[in-house]
Amino acid sequence: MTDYGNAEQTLLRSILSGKKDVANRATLGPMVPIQLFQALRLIGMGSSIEEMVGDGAHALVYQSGKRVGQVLGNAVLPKAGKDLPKYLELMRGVCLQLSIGQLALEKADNSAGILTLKVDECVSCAGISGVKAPICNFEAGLVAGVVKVFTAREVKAVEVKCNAVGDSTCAVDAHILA
Amino acid sequence: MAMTAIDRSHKVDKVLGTITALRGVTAAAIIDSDGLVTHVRRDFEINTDALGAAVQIAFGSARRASDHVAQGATHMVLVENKDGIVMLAPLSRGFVLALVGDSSAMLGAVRFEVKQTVPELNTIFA
Repeated sequence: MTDYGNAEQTLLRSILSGKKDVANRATLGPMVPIQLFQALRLIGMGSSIEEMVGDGAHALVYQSGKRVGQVLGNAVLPKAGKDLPKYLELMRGVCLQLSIGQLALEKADNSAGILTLKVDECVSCAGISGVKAPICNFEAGLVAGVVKVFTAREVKAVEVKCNAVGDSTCAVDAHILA
Repeated sequence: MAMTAIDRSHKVDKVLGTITALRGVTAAAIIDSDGLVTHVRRDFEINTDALGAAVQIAFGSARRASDHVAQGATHMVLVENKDGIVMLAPLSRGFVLALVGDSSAMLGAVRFEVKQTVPELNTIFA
């Protein structure tokens, strides 16, 4: 396993434990300003990656979010069974614990196979404005991963509302594919 | 009349089937702009999530590198490996066609078929 892979395992164990304490942060504590997260997300995984890989940056960020969504989804699924509202409530708790945002089911269109989840106070774009298209590819991927775990089907998630383009919230349509 | 999603899928599958019928071509896939593999024909197991993201990143990197030498639009990216080839071609709306061939694949024939196929796929995705 690579060093990033090892670090991922340590981080995920820490997240899934629910404990907020982080080793080696005795003075500064476990929290960081949201601007630092956004710098990593929008510069480190955004504009600087975009300079190197162009449109591939969107796929990279989306797939990263999807991976995290699948890991978190798999962690809470046994507690929810096949109960979608319970599953999403548990996911909402995890998202609140990590300050990702306030995840909530906005609409379920069973005939079209689309779940619309909104992410209020989205960590990626809160306070950001003036963009032309939604930028929360990580959260869209995260929703795709979360819904994929529950449905055991492939999912295509599309961000349809984004605070950064002037909407009052972020919202993601999760299309459950055949 | 507008094409339904099912019609579109059948047409794409047919096109991919034609490509994978070429000698040495072992996989053909369509990847969307988020790195999701929307269609795939293959002879072997693939981690489609990892493949899809890698294809978009590889194609984006090649295109970005080409921007620096001002050679215009990127029509194809070719990776020649010890045991085969990977070929990437851009489609409309951010989709990418990815082909995998083993060492028996004839590069010229595959390249010709890809050039024929791209407009056909773009019509389907339009």
